[in-house]
Amino acid sequence: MHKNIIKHIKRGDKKAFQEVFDAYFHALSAFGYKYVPDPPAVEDMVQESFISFWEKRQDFDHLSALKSYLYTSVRNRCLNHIKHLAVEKKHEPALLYELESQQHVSRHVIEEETYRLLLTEIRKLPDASQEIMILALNGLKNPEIAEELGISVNTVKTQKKIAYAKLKDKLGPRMGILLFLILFS
Amino acid sequence: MDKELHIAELIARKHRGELDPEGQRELDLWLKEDPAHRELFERTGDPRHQREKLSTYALFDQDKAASRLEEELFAKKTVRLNTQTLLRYAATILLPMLILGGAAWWILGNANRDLMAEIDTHISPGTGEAVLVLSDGSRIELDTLSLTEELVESDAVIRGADRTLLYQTEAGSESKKEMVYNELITPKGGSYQLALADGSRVWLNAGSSLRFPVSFHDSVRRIFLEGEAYFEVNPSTQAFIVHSGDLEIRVLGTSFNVSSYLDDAFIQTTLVEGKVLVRGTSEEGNPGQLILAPNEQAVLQLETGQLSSTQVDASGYASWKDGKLEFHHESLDQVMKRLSRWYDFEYHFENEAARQLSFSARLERSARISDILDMLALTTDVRFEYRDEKIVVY
Repeated sequence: MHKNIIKHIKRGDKKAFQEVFDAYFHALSAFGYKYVPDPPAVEDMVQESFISFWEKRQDFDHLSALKSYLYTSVRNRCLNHIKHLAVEKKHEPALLYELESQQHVSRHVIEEETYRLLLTEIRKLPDASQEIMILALNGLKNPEIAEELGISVNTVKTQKKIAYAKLKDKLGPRMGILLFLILFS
Repeated sequence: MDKELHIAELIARKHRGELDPEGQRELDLWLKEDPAHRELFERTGDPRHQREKLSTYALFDQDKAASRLEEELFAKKTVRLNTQTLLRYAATILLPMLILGGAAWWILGNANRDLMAEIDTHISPGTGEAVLVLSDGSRIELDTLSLTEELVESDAVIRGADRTLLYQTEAGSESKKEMVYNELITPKGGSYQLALADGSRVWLNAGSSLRFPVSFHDSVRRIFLEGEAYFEVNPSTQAFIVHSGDLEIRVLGTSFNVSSYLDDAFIQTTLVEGKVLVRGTSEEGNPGQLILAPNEQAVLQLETGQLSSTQVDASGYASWKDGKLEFHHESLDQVMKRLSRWYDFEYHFENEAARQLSFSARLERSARISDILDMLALTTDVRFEYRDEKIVVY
């Protein structure tokens, strides 16, 4: 995302807004999922966070403020959701206390943002090669991947080439080499 | 949070082999701060964990979410912004923010603010409490912790936990016995759950009472309701009949909501699942009977004795059991009545015309009363004040 994206969003540019959505949807979902292991509920909260961001887009001047807002908004919604469940089910507030601590949220944000930066491109691959990439990253060899997915070894090789071609431009040199080693060793 | 985002950037660059010496120094400092930092760093670089994260991502359908968002934000240009839609909008988007506090400070920045804050110390959302009346007339107060020991009534054992009463027929009690009834009563601001001896479940809303047999031996299962309850009836060859005022609802296995408060002029039956037969039982006039399909609602007007049905979104009428508070084109008169049952307050209309204002909203039952009243005041000309322990509508 380029730094000017905020300007475009403030002007009401839907494409720019969608770009932010594309870049952050999965990371925010995974972030919320850590607090609330209920995907439909998390999807709603992520949705609401983007909606409220769009409504208040004039208040943002920097991209980092926007990122912070999105993480914070999802987190607050999750905590609220948990509190609500806790009231209903009379849970001990000990867990909440931990979740509300600054240290806790700080690590979650770092972790999810790191994964986001690392996986952003992989997750854009076609499903077929994404699946292969997941297994390859998990250390499976071509014949094992072929067996796991019920496809031929040749298909695995082809998909790996496609994935590598798509990914190597996006990733840095070391990751590129690492990826090459994982894919073609 | 800028620091966190920056650290994440450094870690990702490091894993990709793109980190410059200056960034490396920063990262090293951070890694030394806490062993947990080192752990986080190792974890995010591990392909196995990356794969796990991709599996988590796969739980969330981005395309679907994107089109939903698009629809929500950009596809409603043709919608007129009347009070209804504005309130709906405000309730779904602004209220969660209000409850979270902070962001929507400007909404609260009206003259009523202090007054409303004071209200919350007097009026609060309901909790889980109820009274159980046994067959011998003895009363047991059920608080949120519910029963501490088992009770025995006739051939049934009663247990309680987590705001739910559980009735079970003792094994080997085949002999026909006299019908023994218990009654569960919720005060205003209370709510309770019940699992009947046949496995059917009942959620009892605030200010309601339910009379039911402790075990079922007849060919019909008869339950008596006053107020509001949501039923999930276990299928059985025994018909399940809910009696409420001049209405009888006959089912086999199904889920539905009944709202039948004495201070309402109607009895409302909303079917979520299955099929029910709704029959008026008043002696004067003949309101007749109706068969309801899912998402249909039967309304018996008590004054005229008229029974009619309409198409509705049934989940909206049953969502109170999941902690929601929904209004569907309801008059302020009705809204205040319903709020007063859950929040247990008295109110008075100084402005009689305001009774007829219509509202739709979806709120949380745990919301503060002041937030809800602010929301109502925001979208119309009504004003609320808290005086002599009463909410006055101007």
